[in-house]
Amino acid sequence: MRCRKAQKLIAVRVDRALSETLEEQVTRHLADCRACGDVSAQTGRLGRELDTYSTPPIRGGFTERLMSRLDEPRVAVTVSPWWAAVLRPAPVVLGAAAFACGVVVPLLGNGGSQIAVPLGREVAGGSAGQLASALAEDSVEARLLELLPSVEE
Amino acid sequence: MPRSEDQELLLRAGKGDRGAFGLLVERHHEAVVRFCYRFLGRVGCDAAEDLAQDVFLSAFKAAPYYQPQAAVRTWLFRLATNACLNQRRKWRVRRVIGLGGSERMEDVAMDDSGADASALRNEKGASVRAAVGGLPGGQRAAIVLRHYHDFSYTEIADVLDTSVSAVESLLFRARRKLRSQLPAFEIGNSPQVSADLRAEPF
Repeated sequence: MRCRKAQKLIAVRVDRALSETLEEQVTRHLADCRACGDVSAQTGRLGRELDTYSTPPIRGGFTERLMSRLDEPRVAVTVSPWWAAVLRPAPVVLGAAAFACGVVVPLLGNGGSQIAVPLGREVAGGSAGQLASALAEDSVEARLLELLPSVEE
Repeated sequence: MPRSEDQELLLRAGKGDRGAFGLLVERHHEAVVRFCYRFLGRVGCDAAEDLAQDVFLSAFKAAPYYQPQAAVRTWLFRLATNACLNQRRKWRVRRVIGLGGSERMEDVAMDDSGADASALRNEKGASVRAAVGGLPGGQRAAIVLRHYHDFSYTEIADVLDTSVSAVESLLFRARRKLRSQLPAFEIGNSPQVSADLRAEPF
């Protein structure tokens, strides 16, 4: 048996999931191979290390709290999607855009003040830019979610 | 094939029997909370419990569609695994995008009070926790299910919807990575392996 195969089987051996034949082959290999013997010992020790990871005690009343929630309308696990933070200022931006269209643009049309030109551009550009970036980020999230595999292997 | 008691309870829950569902929750909630806690890594027990509640709410909703061929424990842990993976994915996307509300991982993580803090003070446990939390999702699920919940390879394969040989591979890689990351296995910290240890049966 080659070391590579033996070392894979050692992991299965830890879980007592090896067949009798394979168990015998691995044991024979371990008797002759110091490197695999080290891996075997370390794998055994890893199990003891993992045992040190305990969980804190769980609060009582889990079932009662859950049963009282059964009638609630189903709520998503997270409170709000990430893009909600981007769209939250949308009313302000839309208001500013309406202001630009209703007040600044007519002023420009009437050959209004020179100050209104950069102001009008800034507001109009800002709202359009924010909307575009919100949409772009929305598609970025969709693409990211596609790229991220469900099991990260 | 005779149905298990869990299956009977879940089938009754699917027909709207809340008492049966309550019994089922009572039986399995501790395991599911502990699984979420270990799977999510850097979160407090409360966050794990919240997610476990969502898992059971999903279970209640899905109960009418449950097919009794699947073991209830496997079915529940599949829901829990999916919920944990989704939760981590949401945190990751928020981190990538640079946005995050109150549910960012860092915000719910590591409350320094009570039992969580005492668990973290255990240095060894903390390093194991960090190492397990750093594993990719599939490996993490496999090692947590195998080591802490005593699932068989076949059960893990059912939970992760994969083959037994893929589970062997996941566990092999998970253990290799854990060995490479845990301080106890750093060169100099590892005791000399004796011939006796090598022959030690597991």
